Amino acid sequence: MADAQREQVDVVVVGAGPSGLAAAVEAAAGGLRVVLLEQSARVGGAYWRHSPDHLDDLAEVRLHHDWTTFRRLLARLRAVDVRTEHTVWGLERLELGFRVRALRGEVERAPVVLDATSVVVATGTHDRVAPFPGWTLPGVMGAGGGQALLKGSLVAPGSRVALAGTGPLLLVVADGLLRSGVEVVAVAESGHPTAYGLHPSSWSGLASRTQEAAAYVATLAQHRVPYLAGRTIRAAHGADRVERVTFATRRGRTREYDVDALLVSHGFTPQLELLLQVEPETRVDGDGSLVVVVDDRQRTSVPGVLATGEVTGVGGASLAILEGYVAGRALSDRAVDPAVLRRIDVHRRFARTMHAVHVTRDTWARDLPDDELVCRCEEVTAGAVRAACRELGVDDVRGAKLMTRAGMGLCQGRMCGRAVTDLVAVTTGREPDRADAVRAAGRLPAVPVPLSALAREARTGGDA
Amino acid sequence: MRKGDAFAVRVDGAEATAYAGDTVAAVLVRAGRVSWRRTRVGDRPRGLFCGIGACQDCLVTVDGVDGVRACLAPVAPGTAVTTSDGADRG
Repeated sequence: MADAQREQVDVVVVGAGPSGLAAAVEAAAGGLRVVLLEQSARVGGAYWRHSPDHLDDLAEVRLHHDWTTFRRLLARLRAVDVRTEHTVWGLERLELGFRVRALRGEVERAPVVLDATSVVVATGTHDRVAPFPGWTLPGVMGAGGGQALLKGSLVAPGSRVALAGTGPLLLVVADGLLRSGVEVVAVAESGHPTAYGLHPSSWSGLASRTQEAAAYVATLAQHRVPYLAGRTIRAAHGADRVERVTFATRRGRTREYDVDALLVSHGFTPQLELLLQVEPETRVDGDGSLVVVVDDRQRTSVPGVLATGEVTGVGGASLAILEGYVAGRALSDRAVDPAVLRRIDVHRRFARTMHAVHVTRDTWARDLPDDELVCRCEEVTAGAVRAACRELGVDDVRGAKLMTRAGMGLCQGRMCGRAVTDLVAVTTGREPDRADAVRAAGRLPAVPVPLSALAREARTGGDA
Repeated sequence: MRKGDAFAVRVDGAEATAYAGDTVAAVLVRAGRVSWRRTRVGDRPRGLFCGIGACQDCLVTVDGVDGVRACLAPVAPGTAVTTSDGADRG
């Protein structure tokens, strides 16, 4: 067992974003031995990305939200065994507790095995990008991914940037880019944010969020950046990179913009791959995402497995932090402040409104040309999936995968699972259900593991 | 936009500037690269897409190890990055 030393701890928390951090510090404060695993080189997740040496750099602070909360969590993190650059790829039930498998180092890839009484899964989300013509061109990327680059390394994804899709993230990222001196040419929001006005009770308890949104809109106005409600991304154009984008109104009026980057977010895809390995109860949330069912203590249907943050339903960092707090308290058998539970309800209500206002309609699946890719990795076109439906009787994501290889590539369907599900549904007229969503999301291993690392683990008895 | 202590890394054999806390992707994008590999079937250019470790589009070779996610791998002084585009050119 030279390089796959097995350790026994009380709690393993997977993911050091807002909710994972909160869960870890609360569990540790309750006297538990907690290991926090994070795949990137830093804690903070997508929300708090920072350069470790420059926490006091004002230019960075203004790119980050709720910095005080982050600092408070960092101060309490001393009680937690934090391990960055650990990519978790396996979660397995043992007779008592769970076995967590990870690789240490994106380059080194040393196998790590941890046995834990309880596990908190806080693996977060990635941007959902519904395919459109040109979506695989370099320079087109997830809005959250673009923001990660900007926040993490102060590198802008482009010098003339457009944003498209739907949701508050578009505003947040546009604001960050503008404050960093990047030209933002336009923001296309497919929804109509004025619809928030139809649900006043949902945001009445969240003055800070409405103020924040107003501040972003003001920044856009100040920089004369058009915020185009009701516009969708029709196409990205370019030879070997994005050079131009076309935005369209619902009636089909179009306008083009010259850009060198396009950041897209059609909402988010919660990263459930790891959780699904222990088969917890799941549900399809208001935004169409597959999420895990939790009780009022963040416990999943699998005793000993808790889940916090976006994997329980996309709702933002403020909600995620509260969920992490609850999970950490529950694990260490300490009382949960009832005010926090009420606050969680308020945030979840707001999230439901957010999902209702920011909808990505499945018209993309009807409009996408046959020769456009749906699966980036295996380079499967929309036409191939449609033909599989029409000619081979495929009517679900699993059939599409078998017949076209969509979802069988390096990302294991994480990028295209939702898109293929929607495309099959639109083509066949068969409504996808929860089982489809599980099939579209669930794969083993949760991250691509080099075979050499698996072999090393087997040799050293890590799997004995 | 820059920050932190600068140090040198190698990208496709040439020297590039990196800063403390940079990922490989940050170094590549700062150096003006928007794509650094081509797909197997359609020979399509790829660079950063998800930017957070999920999509596997941004793979590079770091210090001789291939299949490394550029968006996650941190760089250190002397880190040698090879992209498949760079290898093809060389």
